[in-house]
Amino acid sequence: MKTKFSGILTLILALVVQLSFAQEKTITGTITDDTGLPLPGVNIIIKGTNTGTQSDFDGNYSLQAETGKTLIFSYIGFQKQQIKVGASNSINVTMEAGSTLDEVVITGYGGNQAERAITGSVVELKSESFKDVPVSGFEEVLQGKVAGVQSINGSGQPGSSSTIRIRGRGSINGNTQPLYVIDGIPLNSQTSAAGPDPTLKSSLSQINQNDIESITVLKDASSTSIYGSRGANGVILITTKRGRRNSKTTFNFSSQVGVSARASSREFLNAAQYLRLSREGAINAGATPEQAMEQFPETGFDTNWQDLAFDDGAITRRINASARGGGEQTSFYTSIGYEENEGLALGSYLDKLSGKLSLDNKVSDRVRFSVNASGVRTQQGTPGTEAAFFNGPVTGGYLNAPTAPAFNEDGSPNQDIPFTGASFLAIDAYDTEQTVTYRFLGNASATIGITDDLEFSSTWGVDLQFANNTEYNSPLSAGNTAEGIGRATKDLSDAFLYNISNVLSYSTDFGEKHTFSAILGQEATEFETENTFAQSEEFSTFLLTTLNSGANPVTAGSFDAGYSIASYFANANYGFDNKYYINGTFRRDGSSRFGANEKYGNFWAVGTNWNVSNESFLANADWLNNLKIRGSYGIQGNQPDTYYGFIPQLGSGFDYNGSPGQNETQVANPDLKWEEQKLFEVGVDFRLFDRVYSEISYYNRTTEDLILDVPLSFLLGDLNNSAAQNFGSLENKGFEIKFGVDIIKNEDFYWNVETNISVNRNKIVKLVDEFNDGTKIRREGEAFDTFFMPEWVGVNPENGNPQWLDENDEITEDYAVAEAAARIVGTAESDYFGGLSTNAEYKGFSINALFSFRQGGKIYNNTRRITDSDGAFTNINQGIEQLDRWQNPGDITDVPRRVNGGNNNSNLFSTRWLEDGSYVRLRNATVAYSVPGELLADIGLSSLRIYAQGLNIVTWSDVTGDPEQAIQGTTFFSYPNAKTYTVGVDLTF
Amino acid sequence: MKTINYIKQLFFIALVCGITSSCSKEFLEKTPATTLTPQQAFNDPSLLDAAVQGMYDRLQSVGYYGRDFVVLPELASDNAQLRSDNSGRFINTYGFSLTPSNDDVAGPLDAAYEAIHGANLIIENAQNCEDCEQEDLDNALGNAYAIRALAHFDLTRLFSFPYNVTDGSVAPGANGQGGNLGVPLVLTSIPEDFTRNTLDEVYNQVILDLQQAENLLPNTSQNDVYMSSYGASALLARLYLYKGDYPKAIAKANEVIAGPYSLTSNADYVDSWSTAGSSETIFEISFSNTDYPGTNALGYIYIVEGYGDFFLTNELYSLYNPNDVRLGLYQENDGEFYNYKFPSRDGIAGLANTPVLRLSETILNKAEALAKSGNDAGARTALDMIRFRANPNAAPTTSSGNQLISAILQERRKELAFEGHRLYDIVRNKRDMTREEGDVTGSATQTLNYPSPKMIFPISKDETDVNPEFQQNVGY
Repeated sequence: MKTKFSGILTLILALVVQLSFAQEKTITGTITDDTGLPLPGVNIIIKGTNTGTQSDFDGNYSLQAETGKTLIFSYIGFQKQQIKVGASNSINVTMEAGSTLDEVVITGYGGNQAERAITGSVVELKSESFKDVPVSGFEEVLQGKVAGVQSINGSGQPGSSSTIRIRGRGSINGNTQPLYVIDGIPLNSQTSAAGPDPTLKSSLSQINQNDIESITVLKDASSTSIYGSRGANGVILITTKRGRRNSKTTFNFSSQVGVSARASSREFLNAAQYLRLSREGAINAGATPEQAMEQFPETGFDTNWQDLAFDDGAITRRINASARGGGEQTSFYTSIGYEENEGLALGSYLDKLSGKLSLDNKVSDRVRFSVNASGVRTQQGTPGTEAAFFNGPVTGGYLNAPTAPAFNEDGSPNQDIPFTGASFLAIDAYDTEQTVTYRFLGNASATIGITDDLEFSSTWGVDLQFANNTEYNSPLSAGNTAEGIGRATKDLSDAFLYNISNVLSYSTDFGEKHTFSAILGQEATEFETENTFAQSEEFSTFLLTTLNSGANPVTAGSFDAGYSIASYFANANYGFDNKYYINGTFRRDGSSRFGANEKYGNFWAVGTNWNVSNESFLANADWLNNLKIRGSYGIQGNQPDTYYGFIPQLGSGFDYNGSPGQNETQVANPDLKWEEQKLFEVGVDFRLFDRVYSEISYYNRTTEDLILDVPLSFLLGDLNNSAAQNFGSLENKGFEIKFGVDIIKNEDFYWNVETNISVNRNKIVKLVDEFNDGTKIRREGEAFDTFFMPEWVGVNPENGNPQWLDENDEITEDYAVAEAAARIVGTAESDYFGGLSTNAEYKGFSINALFSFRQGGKIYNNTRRITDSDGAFTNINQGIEQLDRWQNPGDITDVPRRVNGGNNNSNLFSTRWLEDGSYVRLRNATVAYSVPGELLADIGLSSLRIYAQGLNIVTWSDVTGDPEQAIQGTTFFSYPNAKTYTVGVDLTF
Repeated sequence: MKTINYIKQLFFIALVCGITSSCSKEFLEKTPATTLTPQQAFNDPSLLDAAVQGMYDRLQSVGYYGRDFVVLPELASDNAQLRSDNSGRFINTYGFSLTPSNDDVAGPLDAAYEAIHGANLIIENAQNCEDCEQEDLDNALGNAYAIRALAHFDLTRLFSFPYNVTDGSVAPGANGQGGNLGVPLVLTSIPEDFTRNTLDEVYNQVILDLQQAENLLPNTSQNDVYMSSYGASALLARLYLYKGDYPKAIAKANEVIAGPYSLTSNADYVDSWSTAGSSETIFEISFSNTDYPGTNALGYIYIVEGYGDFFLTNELYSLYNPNDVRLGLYQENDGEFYNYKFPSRDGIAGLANTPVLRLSETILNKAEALAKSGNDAGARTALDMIRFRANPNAAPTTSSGNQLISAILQERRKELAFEGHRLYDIVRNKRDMTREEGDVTGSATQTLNYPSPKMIFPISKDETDVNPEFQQNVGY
């Protein structure tokens, strides 16, 4: 007893002594580089706190710190140093030149790691490289920039969604898009349910590109497994701009104006050519020349419908103004932006108004919090631009007969057009198809330093989206089912996502050589969406367009759905001697979309890397700046597409004896779970002579448990005898190579060329049944988008008939025989794809160019079945290629004889329309001049940059139309992509 | 300092769990707003009733009492002949050349298990009904047990040899006591065992279910388009006869005969087939002009105004006495006689209710059971009830022993023709199926000697591909 008591006393005494010695004192010093030159602007922070300072112009600094605390000295381009405060009050530091290995890369969950510690594939794009590119959705800037990433925009409608594919297609029926995380909040990247064609309303276009500080693409298991059941298709982290402490408020203003035209176009027949072909087709079908003239008379009109449908001088305009700065405690960033994008097709456009405010506040030494709010309003017009709508400007521009006049004598649009029976000019004049969307993203986070090495942070965020779609078909507009009566439709949807994550992070160094960091976290996500729809018809006048003006309320409906995810995760990193690194991740996700027997899934990854260049045996190899070998392996998941796929559902309509009856329409599937992916990667990165650098990776991505419609035993009593179950599997293997050279790197002149090339091979491994849809086949052992169709061999010179191959590979003129002999003729997957960029800077001038390219991969142009129909469709315009038709025996041509009513199905599915999708495109080129600082000081500006740029400037390709159409390789009346030229100015003061 | 930190930590842990609510299990339970889950779907009397109606709706399927189940045993027998200029339906059934990939055999298998599934859902979830009175519950459960029994029993008629089969080479496990393969018993909404039970096991379960139905369903004759207590008893009478338990068959038949039903009179007989229901209808499947299979209806395949694919064999026709009222159900066309038991209603060709249980069959079941248990006198009385109704001037039956049994079977054939019994009656009596010369179209099988594997139908390939535990029948 006595001993214990005195023991405790001693302890308390020691503590008191300890405490009394642990007082703050002033530490000063000078920071220099290894040549002795003072370094200004070096960051000095007391580890575990937010307290710090920067060195001044003479490299001197001064701050209050306690003995025993660790000071961290960091500066871009130099190696970070950590020095403990000892007895001395003076600490001078010599900073050693660092390598790119010291650059900090953002990783998931607010983490960031030095490049040297990264064990996988993480690529970061900074704002300067993309903020001015005139695209309507920020994800489009990824094209050609990141190895392994495909960004394809299948429609030129402003605001339409692009497809982003990281390392190939990872699912058959499920989601193939990466997870987007903005400031730690998983974005609701679904297109809103409001309106007829969801792919036209990209959720990502509701974010202001100019507010993005950086985009980080996470590709491999060690970086994506921490996202668990949502990480299988890769993760794209978006970090928005924040304020700067202890910095005078700087204002930035940027403005850009430009013009867009179609990046590719086709030529169609004029009236004379159209009549000539139509009459010839009639005669070949058995009509007399008089009858042919009667069927296709001269009208005196020669309308160029494409010119009326497309505006090759569409204007785009954007303005952004932002302010950024901060004091001791608080820093802020705020911006407003406005953009107007006229679409190429008549009546299509996207306008965007956005605002953002972010605040960071240092409450105390240990506590800080930040708040971020952004709101965007978009207004989008999409009049009949969907391919299925034959009255829209895209299809009408191609197909409306040139002999039909555009306007009637009274000036009203002529709607009496053969075949389509409608005019997009009328639709533009009379109808409305518009969606207004409000998007609000907000988050708040607080970080508390518990000890020097341990910190806790909590982030709460919301993603709200309200979409309001209005559609009005005037009683005056023809060619739709509301012709003569008029119809108004209102479609409203709202989507609400909230996310909470709590993370404990720990990082420490021990011994001289060991670094260790770990995080332990919890996250919850909940999403709800609601949709309301109402429609009324019978409008007595076209002047009134609201729902209540329609005499007949046709229908009204509403619908809601939601999901939730609850997760726990942990990650640990260990590094030894700056050479060997290993990390491990574990995540456990519970999801409302998983069945009762599989409610929680476990995901994990292990990654390792070896910084060979830090080894002693390479210490003298000055030419080798770094050499890193890395590898990782892990499991990620892909959530089921349906929210309630596993719940047994009952439906009505099964009446008996006049009484209403119900039956189970979906049998319970308590085993429904995520699609599971195993991703293996191995790679090497190196940098030589401080100029030549490369990153090479090989990956193998196998996804199993793909959700497919699997037949069920009759015994389950399911009405369809099939249900969505985890069954299939898919594989993607490939290489990614990034290679770059800083050709010239001196004070005045900088020139860098960099290329990235990706090869991906996709293969279906397990399916329920082979599936054939007329142009494509889905079969085990083949790539997902494998084309399967009759093989076209040309035109018989003797009679102008179409020819294909039969099952013995002999020529047949019978389409039915050819169809029975359909075979695999290629895939949509390219042999390789990538980008090449060159950046040159001389004094204030800079020239940047980015080429994106792809070799191989086929595109099936289904539009040509209609526009090059050899007479199968009459009364619609055709492409000028049709003028090359066969006319007399002996003619050698690839266009069959024109016969109205069709020439033996010559236009039907076959390799005639299968084109080689290879292309090289000058995707982006910018010429800019930054006015030197001395000249600006007089005007009070701190920077001024003027530039001219082009997007999709030139394309070299054999494809009829735009080669960047639809990642799955089939195009059908797609809205052409734009090439855009802009000039802009960017100034800061 | 350290204590403050500790408190802070506790506070935040509490914050996390308290506010995030993701610590609760309900957080991950999301239900759709547009359809009901089974827990909700039996919540009140009208929903429970809707479940019962939905179960009966499955019986209306074309594969089941909509048509296929009723025609298969008639076309695969000596009752019908295929018209050479036919619409292409049921050719393999008629020709005894069915294979597992033939759609004809998939429909009944699918529909019967759908009805069983609906019944199981009711049985499992009826107690969730909060506002239901006891009689609502009894009615729902009674119907569910009855239909579950009916569907399992019907499946065994199609896909199993009868109870008395002893030849193990056509019916593995045969022991004369139902040891041969029956069908899988499905007694839960999420079945786990997909193998075939023995016929005896199936029969025992059917008996239990029907006994439950007898107790739960009301005693009075309800609307005859639903099962009733008498319906359950009538079905039990049929099952006991098939099983060979004659005393119980006779007892059940007597219970039904003592009920509120009476034989349709000779005068009303023909007309009663073109109207819904009759005085002797115990249970029939309801069809109306807005709820019937259209050109896929049962009547449509037989009548000349429909497909007219099958007509009576000469042999069957010749069995009827010229004064037999039942001849009024057959109409002559182009030298052959076509079945008009399911004629038209309200001018819609082929619209008719499908009979499942009627008093005439119960009486015939009783007669056969009596004769086979040696009570010839009782058997003759029962038999003559049917004979005199068909032809009031017929001479009373005088035969006995095996002759009497044959006479009963022949009367059964004449009375129940085209109602879906013929092949089963032949096979459970261990007789051969013989079609006479001139009664066969093309190269269709003329004779099947008992026991032939073709006397039962194959299990659909759609099922065996997915569920190999459902053993295929011998010979397919």
